[in-house]
Amino acid sequence: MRAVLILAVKSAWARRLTLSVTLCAIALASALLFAVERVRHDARQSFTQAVSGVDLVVGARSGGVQLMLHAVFHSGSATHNIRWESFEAIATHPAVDWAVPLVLGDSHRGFPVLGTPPDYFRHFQYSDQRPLAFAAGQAFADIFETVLGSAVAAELKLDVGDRIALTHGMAEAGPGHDDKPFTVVGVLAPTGTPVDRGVHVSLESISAIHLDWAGGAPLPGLAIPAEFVRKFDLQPKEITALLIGLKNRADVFRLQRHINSYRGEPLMAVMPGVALDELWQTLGMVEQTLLAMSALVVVIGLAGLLATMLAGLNERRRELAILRALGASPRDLFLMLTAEGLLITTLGVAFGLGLLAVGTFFFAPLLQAHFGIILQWRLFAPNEWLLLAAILATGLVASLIPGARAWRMSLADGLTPRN
Amino acid sequence: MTALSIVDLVYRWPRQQAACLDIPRFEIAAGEHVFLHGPSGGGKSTLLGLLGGVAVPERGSIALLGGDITRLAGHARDRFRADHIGFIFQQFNLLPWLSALDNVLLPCTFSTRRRQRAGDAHAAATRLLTHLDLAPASWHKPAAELSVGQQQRVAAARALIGRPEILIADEPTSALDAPRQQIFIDLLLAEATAAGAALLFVSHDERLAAHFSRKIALADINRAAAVEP
Amino acid sequence: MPSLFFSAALIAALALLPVAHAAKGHAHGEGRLDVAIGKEQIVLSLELPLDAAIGFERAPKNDKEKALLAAAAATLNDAAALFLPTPAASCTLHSVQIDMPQFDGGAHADIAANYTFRCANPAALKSIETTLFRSFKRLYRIEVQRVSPAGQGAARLSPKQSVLSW
Repeated sequence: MRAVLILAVKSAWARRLTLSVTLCAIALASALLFAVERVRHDARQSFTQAVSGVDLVVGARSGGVQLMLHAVFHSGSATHNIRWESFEAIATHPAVDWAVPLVLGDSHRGFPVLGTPPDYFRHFQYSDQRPLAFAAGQAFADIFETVLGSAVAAELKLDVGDRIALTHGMAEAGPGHDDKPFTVVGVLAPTGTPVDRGVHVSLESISAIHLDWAGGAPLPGLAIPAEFVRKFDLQPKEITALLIGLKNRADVFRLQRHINSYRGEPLMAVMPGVALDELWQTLGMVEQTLLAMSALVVVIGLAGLLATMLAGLNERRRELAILRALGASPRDLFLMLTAEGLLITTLGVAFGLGLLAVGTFFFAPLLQAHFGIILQWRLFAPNEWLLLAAILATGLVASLIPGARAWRMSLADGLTPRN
Repeated sequence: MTALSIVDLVYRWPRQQAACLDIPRFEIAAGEHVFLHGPSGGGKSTLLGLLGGVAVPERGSIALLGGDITRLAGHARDRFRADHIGFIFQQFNLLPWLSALDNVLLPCTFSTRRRQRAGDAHAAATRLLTHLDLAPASWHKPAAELSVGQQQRVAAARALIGRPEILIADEPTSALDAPRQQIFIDLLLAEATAAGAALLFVSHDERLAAHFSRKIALADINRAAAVEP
Repeated sequence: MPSLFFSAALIAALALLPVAHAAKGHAHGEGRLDVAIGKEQIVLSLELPLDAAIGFERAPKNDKEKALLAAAAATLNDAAALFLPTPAASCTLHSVQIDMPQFDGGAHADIAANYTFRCANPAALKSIETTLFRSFKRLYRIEVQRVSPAGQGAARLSPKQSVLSW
């Protein structure tokens, strides 16, 4: 039997050109399947880590998922702002440990600008209570100072001491705030969350650059030079959203109800973890469809293996008869063909995993930059073991068919093939 | 001792009324060389399949080296074939992707007995190839690159390695031209004699019978008139 | 690149999310449950449409309907049978508070219930099973919001999936 298996490998090597095409198909298909599963899994992981330190996100009434995405992931936009007084009223609630107001809406070369008090750097936590850390410099202390997320600094090659100008709105070429440039005073260490893509400035800075603006455009004929802005009251009147940390996390429902029934203006408090789960529930169908499609591609790849082996079997009929004359039993031939199929499947999956590793290497930075999804370098997650087992099992089933056919053929042919 | 002894053998193809083989008696002594004449389609392949143990008769016994192989289980017949019988067919005897030498060595990977009887298998193989007049230059070539004549000689070497007691050659020369047929049969007979093997040489070409001490027509021993489907 | 395709689909799906998703109204047959898991105790806040509990959402008109309402209140009061936390956590019922609707003329009426469990071994707490679906046949879904020291989450319970685990 060992002799037969060695012959199986040699025989497969002799047909390596044909088989390698099949092998490539299986490799690509399994790489696709693993990639979909990995992105799905890691997207959840990354998103969850990004919101894990925030107990409630407060904003004007809209969709909970939209509010969470806007406030934490800076995607989309807010329909309404909330009043500063509302922030003050909520921040003093006894259950609240910290409350950080956010003003969003401006950008620097596509990176979102976050107007926030310096407290933000002290309170915001991600992935299992890890606080933000500075890779260089420190928090801003004055207007026209900015702290960059690690990705902003890396991609735009900025460092402490550099000067940047902000843009109104999220468009890369929107109307500018060039007249009031900012100095980089700090760069944050990488977190793997949307913080990496943030350009952080003080709330007062946001007010300052919009002093001579109204309704989203510069006021014609009015230009207040940077050196004069301090003469104005820079306390913001409105904020976009509010991040809240609680003294006791279990109080979240109580405070949520309190904020949702706040009488000053219509507000909404969203539990970010809950909103994320709701998002996954909504995306569940999309995920399932993608997974199913990739699984189908793997099945097609394995069907290709089956077709190749069955087609090759007729040409190998004589080969099987020779082995039979040498003393191979029908069972040996069955094993030989099955082993060949399983070998191709296993090699294909192995190459697929190699492809996945290479793909992760090249595309992980892209995914992180554009979607905040961090692909992990790691061994298999339980789900992936399951996928692997499923592919190999399907490959085995596909290989049993040519094996069984070889068995039957050898019984019918005996020592002299009929072709 | 007889190498082969058939008694009261009857074989019928599935779903066929008439028997294809009905052989009351047929024997080959140990070391004897027998020419069996049979036109193609006369039950020849069926008989070889029965002797090789890949088919079993409806009734009767086939004793090879004294043991009735019809009483053995399938895997035991496969084992017996690997250990005691060397086959040479008309053509395409070799695995095209193995070298000539590796093809010769194949029986030693399938049968422990033949590996032991071969002694140093590699030396035995090169000796046989040399005796069968195959130049060392072609030993390591893939079998597919050899001429038909060379292939048949490699096939003979493979059948002979590990000195099986029974050699069965089925039209081994029909793919060769007349002068080469002559040379091939001479070499085969010489090596069979040297190995002490009984040889059953089956062919439709009666002219080849001249080389053999005993000549039998299949039609003479087979009472069945039916032809192979 | 497949992962890009996936992400594109993800982003597209984000954009298509209905605004109404978060603003949950009252739906017959659909309950809401807030689960707050603290260091030693679990607080469960249940909001159940009256329709899911007894089949109508108005003041009872006769003795039969009054009996139905009373039976629902009794079932909801029996918290130890209604919620089954992981046995290893050794949780015991600490308090129950049921607010039956006042029938103040609105179109809808909800029952609000608050349950507090105390757990001797909170580390072992991994799931809570509910028998609400067995008691209230008209109830087909419970939207759950959960918070624990480890984080937040949402889940959807149904007669087929009556175990909340995290």
